[in-house]
Amino acid sequence: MRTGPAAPDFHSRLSDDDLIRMSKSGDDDAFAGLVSRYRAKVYSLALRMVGDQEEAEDISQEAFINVYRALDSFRLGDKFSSWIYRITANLSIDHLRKKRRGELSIDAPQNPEGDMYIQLPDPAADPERSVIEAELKAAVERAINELSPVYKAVVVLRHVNQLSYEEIAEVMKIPLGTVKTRLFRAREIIRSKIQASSGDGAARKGA
Amino acid sequence: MQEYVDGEAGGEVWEQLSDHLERCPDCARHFREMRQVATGLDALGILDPGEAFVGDVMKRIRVERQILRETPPARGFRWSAAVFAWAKGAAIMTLVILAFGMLSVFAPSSLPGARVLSTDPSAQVVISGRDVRVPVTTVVRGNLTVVDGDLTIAGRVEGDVRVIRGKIKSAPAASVGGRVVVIDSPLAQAKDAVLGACDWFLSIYARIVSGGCGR
Repeated sequence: MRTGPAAPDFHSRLSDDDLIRMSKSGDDDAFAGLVSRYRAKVYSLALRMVGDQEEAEDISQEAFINVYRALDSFRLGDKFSSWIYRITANLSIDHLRKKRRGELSIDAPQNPEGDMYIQLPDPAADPERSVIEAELKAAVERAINELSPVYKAVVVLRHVNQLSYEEIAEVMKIPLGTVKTRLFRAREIIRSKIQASSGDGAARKGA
Repeated sequence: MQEYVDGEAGGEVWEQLSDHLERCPDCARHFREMRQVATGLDALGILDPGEAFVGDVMKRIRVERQILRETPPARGFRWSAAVFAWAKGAAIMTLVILAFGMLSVFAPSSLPGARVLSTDPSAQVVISGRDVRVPVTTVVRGNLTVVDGDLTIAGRVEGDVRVIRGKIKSAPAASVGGRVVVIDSPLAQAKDAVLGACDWFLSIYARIVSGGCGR
């Protein structure tokens, strides 16, 4: 089970498909290679989705374990990255919905197309904040947290995982048009939130 | 405009857009803000949970596999292993039941009283001491074996009747559908004990199939 000193390097040179083929035949080291290759991307996706390090780590582990359980059903030639992102995003969305069910719902109900609500600005935010990069990042983090789970997924896949519109459509199994609608609307929500929390004047100077 | 922010818009779209932005300060401001949002989002970046994460996942996988007592993913194998384990258990049970049945039922008992076996688990017979009676109201839908007893049939037995170490007191020819055998010699006893044990085992099987022993 332990990987020898040369093993990690050996696995890092194999393709996803090779590692999956080896994992399917019971090679644990090969699967560990896959986990190692995708751990940061999967963890970052989960982290930006749920906004909590511990929960994100649990979800990431769960995602890889789900993948392991379903290895047999994976068709070689399909994109492994899309598969693991889909599982992670769906686990995160489920988690957020479960969590939210216990709290006061701040989302208006969505229509079947996934259209949504405009949210109120965060009243706790400091109005004099100037938008330099670090603070912009913090503001963006806060704004993302308030998006609905499906909007969040598209934004995170785009900006954290750096996927193209087409790749996002494949991961989320939604049409390309829906990807754009959700991404653009989500960013518009984030923009208006940042403007509202930083104050118009400061935002103009910062830009 | 959004597609341009993503770098996914074509060159001519950008030309049209920049023309417009030069003339429209509101749109120019909106555009700057959109880019700012995209920059802030990109700055979130990728975070590595660390090398220990891999070990944690693999540990959970190994624990789970141990719990499920499965070898690395191979569904067909697990299935056949389960069937084999079940068959092995059933075979051992069968041997135990047969051996137990033969010893306990057919060995001469120090206790007085007849024992009755039937392939019809619902058959109602009356046993008093050595006397075994199939009442008028009873129809035994199968074989009937009496050990250490004397049999009287007032009702009907549709299968074979065997009496071991005993006699038939009364059994009209029309009351028995199958053969009637009375066994007293030790050799014949032994031979019929085996047949009786089979009947007994069948009766248990019939009881299980008909829905449990409780009825």
